[in-house]
Amino acid sequence: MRGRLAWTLACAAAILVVGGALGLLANAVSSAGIPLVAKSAPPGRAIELAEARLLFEDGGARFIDARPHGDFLSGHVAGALNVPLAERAGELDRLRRELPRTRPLVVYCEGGECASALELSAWLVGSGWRDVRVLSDGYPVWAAAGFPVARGEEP
Amino acid sequence: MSAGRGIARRLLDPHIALALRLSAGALLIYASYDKLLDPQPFADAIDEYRILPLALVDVTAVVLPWIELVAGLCLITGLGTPGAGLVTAALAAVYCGAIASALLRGLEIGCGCFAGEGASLLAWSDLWLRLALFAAGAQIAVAAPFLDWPLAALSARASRSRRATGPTPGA
Repeated sequence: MRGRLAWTLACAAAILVVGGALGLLANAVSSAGIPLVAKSAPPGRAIELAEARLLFEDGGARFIDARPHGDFLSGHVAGALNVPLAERAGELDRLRRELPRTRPLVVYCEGGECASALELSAWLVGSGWRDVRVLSDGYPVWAAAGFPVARGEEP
Repeated sequence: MSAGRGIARRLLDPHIALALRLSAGALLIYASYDKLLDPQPFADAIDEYRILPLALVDVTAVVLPWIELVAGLCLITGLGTPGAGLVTAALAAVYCGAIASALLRGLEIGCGCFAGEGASLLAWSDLWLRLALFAAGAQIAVAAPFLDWPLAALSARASRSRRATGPTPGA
């Protein structure tokens, strides 16, 4: 009985070791592999319009509008989530529900001298999101370029 | 008492044990397939449960599907089956705990268990399959031999053919 238990545990351990080793090896050689060490982008890493457009089209990133709600209603990047800087603390639970911390985020505000996107991106990194970027040109340049926008509340 | 013994005897019936083993193995392999091809969505799904610290989310997403695959292959081939049963039961217990915890906290998330789940939200009904998997794994861990069909049959046939040909001259 004791021998059977020992063999069972040994087999289980072997499965865990072999499975784990294969997983790490496959992740290292696969093009779909993911980084195992958290690689937080520095808070507020600025990106240009072209990179933001690529992230938008790829569908993997979520856009965060750091402006007040009224500005958001009058026009925002299509599909963006409104997190006004002043109300960020109350939004944390909703963000954690809706945004996996592994997902890239692109934060924007009015561009130019506006600092709310930088502050919000630093807060997001501090709250656990690992890949947070700031669209330095802000919403006006995005809209002027004719990229997808929406008005009113997001569904 | 005797009814309990009857159920236990039935569960230890070799045909039922074989069916449980092959079903559990096929389920584990199916569950692992898309996760090991593309671990990122699985990492997102794990993170949505808000149980693991971020530092452990990615490594779990990378390693777990391969453990499922190896355990599933062991169950299908009949190699080290009690150990594979134990791993299966442990995985199922972890999944049950995570699902129950997410539902009790009111999280509106997907299960992240299989490919093609679409946008369906986690529900208590998602527990039943994992509970069945737990029961099958426990049964296999307790009752299955270490080398089982089909590997056991192949091994027996190989040793019969070796005996039939007899010792090689000069050996």
